Amino acid sequence: MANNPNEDRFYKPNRLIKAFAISSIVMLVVTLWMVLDDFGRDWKGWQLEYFRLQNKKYNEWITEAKSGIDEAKLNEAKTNVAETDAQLKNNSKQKEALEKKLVALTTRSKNTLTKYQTEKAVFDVRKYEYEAVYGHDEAAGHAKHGPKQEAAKKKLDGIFEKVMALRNIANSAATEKENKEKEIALLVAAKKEAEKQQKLLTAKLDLLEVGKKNAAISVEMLMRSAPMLDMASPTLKLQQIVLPTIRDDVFFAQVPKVDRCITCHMAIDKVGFENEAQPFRTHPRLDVMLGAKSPHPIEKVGCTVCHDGRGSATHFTRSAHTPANPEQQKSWEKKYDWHEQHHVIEKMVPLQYTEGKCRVCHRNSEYVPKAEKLNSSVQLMKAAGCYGCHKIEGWQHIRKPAPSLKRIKGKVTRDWVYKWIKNPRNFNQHARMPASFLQSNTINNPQFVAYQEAEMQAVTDFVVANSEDYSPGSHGSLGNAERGKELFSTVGCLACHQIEGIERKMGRFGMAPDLSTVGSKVSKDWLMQWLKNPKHYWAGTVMPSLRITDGEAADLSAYLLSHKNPEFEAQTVPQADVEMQKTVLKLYLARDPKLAPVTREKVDEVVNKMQSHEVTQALGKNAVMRYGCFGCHEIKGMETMATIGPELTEVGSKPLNKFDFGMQHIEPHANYAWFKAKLTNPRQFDHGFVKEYLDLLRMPLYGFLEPDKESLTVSLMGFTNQKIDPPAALTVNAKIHHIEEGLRVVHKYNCQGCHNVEELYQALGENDPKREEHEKDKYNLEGRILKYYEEDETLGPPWLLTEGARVHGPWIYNFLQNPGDHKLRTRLKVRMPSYNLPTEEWNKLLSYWAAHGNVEFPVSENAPVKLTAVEVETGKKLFNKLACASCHTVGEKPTMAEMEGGSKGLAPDLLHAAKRLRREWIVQLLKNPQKMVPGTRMPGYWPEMQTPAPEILGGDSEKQIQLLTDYILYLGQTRGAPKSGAPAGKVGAKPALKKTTVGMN
Amino acid sequence: MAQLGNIITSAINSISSPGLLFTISSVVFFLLLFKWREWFGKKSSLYIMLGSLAAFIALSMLNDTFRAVVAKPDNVPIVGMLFLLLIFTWLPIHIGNINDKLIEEGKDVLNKKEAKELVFTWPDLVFSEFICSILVTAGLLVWSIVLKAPLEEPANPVETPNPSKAPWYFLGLQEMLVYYDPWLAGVVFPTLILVGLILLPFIDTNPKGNGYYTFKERKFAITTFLYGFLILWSLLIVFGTFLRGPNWNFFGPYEFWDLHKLEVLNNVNLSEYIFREMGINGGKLPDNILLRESFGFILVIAYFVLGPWLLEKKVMPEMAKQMGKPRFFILAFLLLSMASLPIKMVLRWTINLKYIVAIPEFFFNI
Repeated sequence: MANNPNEDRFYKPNRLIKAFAISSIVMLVVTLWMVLDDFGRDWKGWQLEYFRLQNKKYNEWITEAKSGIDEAKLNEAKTNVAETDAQLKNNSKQKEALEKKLVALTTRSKNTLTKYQTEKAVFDVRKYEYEAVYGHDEAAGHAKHGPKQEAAKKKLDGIFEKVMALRNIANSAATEKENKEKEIALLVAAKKEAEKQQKLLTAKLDLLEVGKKNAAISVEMLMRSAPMLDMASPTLKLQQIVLPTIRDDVFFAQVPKVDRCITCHMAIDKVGFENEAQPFRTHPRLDVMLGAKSPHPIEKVGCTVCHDGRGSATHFTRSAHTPANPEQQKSWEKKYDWHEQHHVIEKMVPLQYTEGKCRVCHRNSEYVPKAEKLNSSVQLMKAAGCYGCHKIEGWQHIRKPAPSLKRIKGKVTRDWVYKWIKNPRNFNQHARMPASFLQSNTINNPQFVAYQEAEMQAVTDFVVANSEDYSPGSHGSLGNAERGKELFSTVGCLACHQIEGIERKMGRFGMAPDLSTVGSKVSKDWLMQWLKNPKHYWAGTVMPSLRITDGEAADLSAYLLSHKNPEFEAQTVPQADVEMQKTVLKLYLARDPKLAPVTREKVDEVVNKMQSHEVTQALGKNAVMRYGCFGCHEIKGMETMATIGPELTEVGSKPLNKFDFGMQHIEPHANYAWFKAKLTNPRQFDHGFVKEYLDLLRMPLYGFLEPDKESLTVSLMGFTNQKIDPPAALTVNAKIHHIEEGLRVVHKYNCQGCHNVEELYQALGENDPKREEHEKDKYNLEGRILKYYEEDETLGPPWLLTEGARVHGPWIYNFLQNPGDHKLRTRLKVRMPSYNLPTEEWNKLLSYWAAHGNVEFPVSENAPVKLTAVEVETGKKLFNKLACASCHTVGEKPTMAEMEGGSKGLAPDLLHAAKRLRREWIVQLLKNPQKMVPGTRMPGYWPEMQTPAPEILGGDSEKQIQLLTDYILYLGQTRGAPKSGAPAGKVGAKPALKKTTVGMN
Repeated sequence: MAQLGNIITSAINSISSPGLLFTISSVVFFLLLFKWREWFGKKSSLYIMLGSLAAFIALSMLNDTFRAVVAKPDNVPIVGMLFLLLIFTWLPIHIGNINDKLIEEGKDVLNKKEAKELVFTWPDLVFSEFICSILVTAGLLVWSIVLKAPLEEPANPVETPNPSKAPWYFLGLQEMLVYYDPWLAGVVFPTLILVGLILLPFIDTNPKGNGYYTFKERKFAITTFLYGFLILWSLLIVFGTFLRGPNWNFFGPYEFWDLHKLEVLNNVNLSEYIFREMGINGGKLPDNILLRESFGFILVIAYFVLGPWLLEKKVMPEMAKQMGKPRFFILAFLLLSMASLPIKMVLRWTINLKYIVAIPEFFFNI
């Protein structure tokens, strides 16, 4: 070794040391950076922010709680405490003496107890030892009594008495001590009570003070969350909900869902943060979602089962938040450096579509309570008939959305069919049927246009050729159109149909065709027959009989047939070009598996053998199958064919790369945007591609409006493959099952066109700025016809919200059999139609009402009412005092004068009540009419049980209500239900439970 | 300006086919080693090349596609690798050039001088190594903080990534899969590479160049190794990383990775060429597999039998004599195996040859 360190060295040591120093410092800095980078998570900042906010909130709440305390009462309580305290002080000597004694007693009690326990332990050992030498033999049936056993037994016996004695001593010492405590408690009882009273007054405040203390930001609290120290008990920590029954599919395994959203959204289930900025805002619907008392408590459902997104992430961008609109996207990009997470499959659903996710659990529900957006979306989807082409699991029971074509040639002409197919909205701009032909992927190609022309001709001929003959018979001449219009607008047609000239209150996708151009479609005789008995033409129709008389039919027909579309009538139908039809047929045959492997010659041979009408029929059949006409219409021979479109059951979970975006640049590149684009123009994804004619897209154009598309997207987003087990999943019990089944019937026959059935409409809060706008939608979901009764809803069909609890099963069954015979509200012009339902559907309907009303299965009757003469007299007095008869009839028909001057006849005839109404419902109605029948005219005579007639029955409200109920039942019981139009009938006549012919009046 | 950019990018895109790029690279490689070595070994040349490479990458970053591919956290190390490769190829050539000149002048090579100035292991070596290790660790930490690990969703068997790429260091192997069956490209070749590298010291007993850099004294060894490492390994990694897109299609550096891009892939087996195209046996493939593939087998056997013989007798008889038969034939076998990759590539690009021996019945294809 050299002595001089700088000699014989390749590197200079001093420089090496310097380099070492610098690199060490660099390493230290980088290490610190790493620790901070790892420690400094966004969510910690948010939590700190939340603590600050909470602090502010606590101050506000405390101020509010303080002002809420009744000062006088508090002072009184305080004085009370002071007084009792003074009293106690007077007895202080006595108390002190007692307490001294208690100390001695406590010591004694403890000592004796210890002694007992010590000895007891010895006893237990002796017991075990004895059992060990004796017990096994005893259990085996040959007990031994040798010296060993004897010795053990002796030992055990020796200690037993001792232990028992000690126990006695310990217990009596404990009793003495307790007695002394009671003495003392008695002495301080008054003070304790006074203090309790005071505490009750300030309970809320105290609770808030404690909360505030716990939430305060202090040095200690921050230290606990400092780097390295945060391993023990940090104050800022990850919050998560683990949901064992909601599982995420990670492809090779299913793992319980873990939602950490609440790490930042800390106030999501807490009341009081409704107006804070995100992420601290309370969930807008705690009554439905997340609230402890809601059907979906947060610990049961979490967040991402509805909202989607990556629940386990705690970073704004990485948790796959999705902006609701471009503006939000821009602001997020600026604020959070947000960018799309391409790899995440389950990105958050934009807020406007979240409601669709209710379907994850409420998979096949006919409707989801309080999910207004989703319900209207589903209704739209059904009305538009999406399920005609797309299979949707759980929707198979729904009837085809369009009329049967099995007798079409008895209804319309061949030319009409051609023109209609070509573009249904040329006939009627409100037509529901979408346009399949001459769309954007064919219209610019003359060859394709010619092909489509040939197909339209062939489809028309095919449909007509496959139709049976039908003759409506002859029905006299037309009546008065004016009277027809009056009838049309009052009798109930507007629940399903709309027509030019009467204000339009529904969108295009209603239950039944728009009649604005019906005069250019059907003949007079067909229409009159149809109006009188729709089932004559089509047994499967859901159009009910409104008991239209011959005269009424003549008037209605005159009115309807006056609505024509001259432009449509003027359109000419070109001559069918059989050669072109042959060309197109060859395209189809080239793909016919029966001809594979196909050659031009083979196809030519087949086609050349055909007669021209055979060509038309063959092409027609092929085209009908390609465009899937049979999905919506019944066509002879095609009743059971499978739908042609892709299944939609799980379309919301379909991976994005499986969507055909074609050459379209759709912003954002997301499934919801694709849905909307597809609904806008289904054929646009063909643009820019070179395709063979038969490979072209074929989904027809509906011409949806923006809100329609938005609404349909809500449902589509909810058709997912998420699997959920109980308890998170919806359990379908008998009640829910009955309601589901019944609602299917309700929706099939469009009961909700007239009646408010489920109160689907959800009013916004009083202060909501959108409330007024929203109120306009009130009858979009159900009770649609009530839109025409804005001035007085009670002139329209009644609400049925509590119908199950209200009426007896036999009565409603009997009523529905032929509503014309049981007219209840004499003044209503709108008619309850006669539905000729199969028994199965009646049962479903009645079971539904019973389940919904929480009452016994359909059949039920009130117990017979027995009233004394005095009670009858008192009841009558009450009845007259409250002027029940000013609205209700009691078997009589109101006179014109009564009707014009007052409200007589608006309310149901009370003679029906005995057979019709459940007794308990009447009691509830009298107590609070608005609760049982929202919007009713019926006044509440006993507001908060304040009697309107103090002189009757000693002013006892409960007794009055009970008596009035009985009196009403007594009326019907003694006088019987009236027949429509006839004077009050025979006493106690029982309505016959027989089916009446529908369609005859 | 933009127009010029467009012209340049589309020009580069249009020459971007694996065949063309591979050929150009090979030609440049040989030119650099044999024609332009003097220039290549200069310090200024290194700066020019590093600068050009940096400028090329920087300018190309203006292009969205290029940026998206190059800036992907996975691909960052490969960009770094390009610079390192250049520097560490240049360094031995640079010193080798100086040494070659010194040898020609009959002087000691550089290392001999240095060898006289021995230094201590401690502190000179260990201390400096320690400092390096600290700096490298710090560098790795910074890298891991700045570029987050590119974690993705859990693997989904119904939705595989497209393109599905191996880790970057295996992309050369994956590229070989385009031309060879998996058992060759995935099993035999990697094994031969490893075995060959292990055998090198036993095959190459030439004492020249021990402990100092030289090119002229070891032309064959250096050229062969560098061709294998730079062209057949590193270049293929670059192809796989930057230029292979969806469906393993080849894309120019500025070409949008269109999922729907199609390439003509009508490859034909040798047996089909012989029997179908040339009409031997009346255009019918013989039913007997061995008969069917007999031409392929003969070709392969001839390659590995006649090849060494030719090398020994005609191509490098001197070397064969020096090395002795066993060593030389092992070398010849390894060399021919290595050469089989570019040969197969060229056959694919020129005559769409799929397999020389194609027995899909037994998953045996060459």
